[in-house]
Amino acid sequence: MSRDTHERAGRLINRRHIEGLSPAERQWLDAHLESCGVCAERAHLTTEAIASLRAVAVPVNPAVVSMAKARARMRAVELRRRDERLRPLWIACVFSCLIMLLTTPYFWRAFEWVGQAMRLPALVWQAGFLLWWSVPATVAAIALLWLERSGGLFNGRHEGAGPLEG
Amino acid sequence: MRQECAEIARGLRKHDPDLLDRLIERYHYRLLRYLISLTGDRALAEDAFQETWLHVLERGSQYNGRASFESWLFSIARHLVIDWFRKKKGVSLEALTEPDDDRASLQVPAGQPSPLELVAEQEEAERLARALPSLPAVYREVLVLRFQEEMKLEEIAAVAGVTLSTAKSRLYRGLEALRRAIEGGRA
Repeated sequence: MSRDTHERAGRLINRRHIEGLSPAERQWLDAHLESCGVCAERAHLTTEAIASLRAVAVPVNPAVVSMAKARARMRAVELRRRDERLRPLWIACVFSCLIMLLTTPYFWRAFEWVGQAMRLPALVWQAGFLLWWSVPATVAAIALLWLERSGGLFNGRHEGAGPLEG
Repeated sequence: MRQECAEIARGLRKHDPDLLDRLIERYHYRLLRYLISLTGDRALAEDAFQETWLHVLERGSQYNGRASFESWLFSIARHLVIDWFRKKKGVSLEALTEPDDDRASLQVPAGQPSPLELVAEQEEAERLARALPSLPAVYREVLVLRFQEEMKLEEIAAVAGVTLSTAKSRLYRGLEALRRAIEGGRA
């Protein structure tokens, strides 16, 4: 038998366990293994290695599992509290954004009218309008800061900052 | 299956503590086994195990329920271990992912039994326990995912964050290396 034949058998032995073989390949390999002791031993060893791998048992310390459950539960409660604290803020943000979008054309005209009535340069009343426009975002930022300081909105860990990483 | 994944995704978005309890109960063994195979260190694997579940909670909203939950779980665990090695041990990401370099960083210290050696009860398992830690981490990982977790090749590629062809190539090389290591242990 040529070296190529054994190499092909070696490739098929591995492929049988990884991707599977076509019926023709399986037939060829089985026939080869029957006539080649070296490749048959190789196939046996590979099957044995996989069987051993599947049979590996890892003892689990129940305390580790219990601790994981307790820590996860505690963190879940924290995250739920954070969500509850954030909910009104989100609602307020959405509401104020809607109001802003709906009222912008009217307020723009109102600012323009006031600017013209008071004979202010266009830049001044436009800046005033922009300032008014940024009020909801500013209020939201202040509220977030206040929540963080008072209740620890972002207390504990946040994404990518676990003890193992930090 | 798909419905179950969708339910898990919904529960994770709500940070449901009861769901977490059930998931830990269900996946603790497989996750720990995977982490031991990845790190080669039981204590480290147990630390990573705890952290993985906290990450699952915090990143729960990223799980869309379309992919299998275990692939996503193992992928989180894997990233955590890589980050840990990179930040705490001063080992680069490449050192963990490149077969030629990771032996030094992941092998069990000489003279100390590996976790797998400790639990090996039968002759074959002992032989495997001696052989497995000598394999590069990336090979150990794919072998465990394929033959212990019975994952599909596509799932293995997703967990390892590599292309399908890379996952296959690692499996072929890993299987070959494992067979040789066991063969060597017999001689």
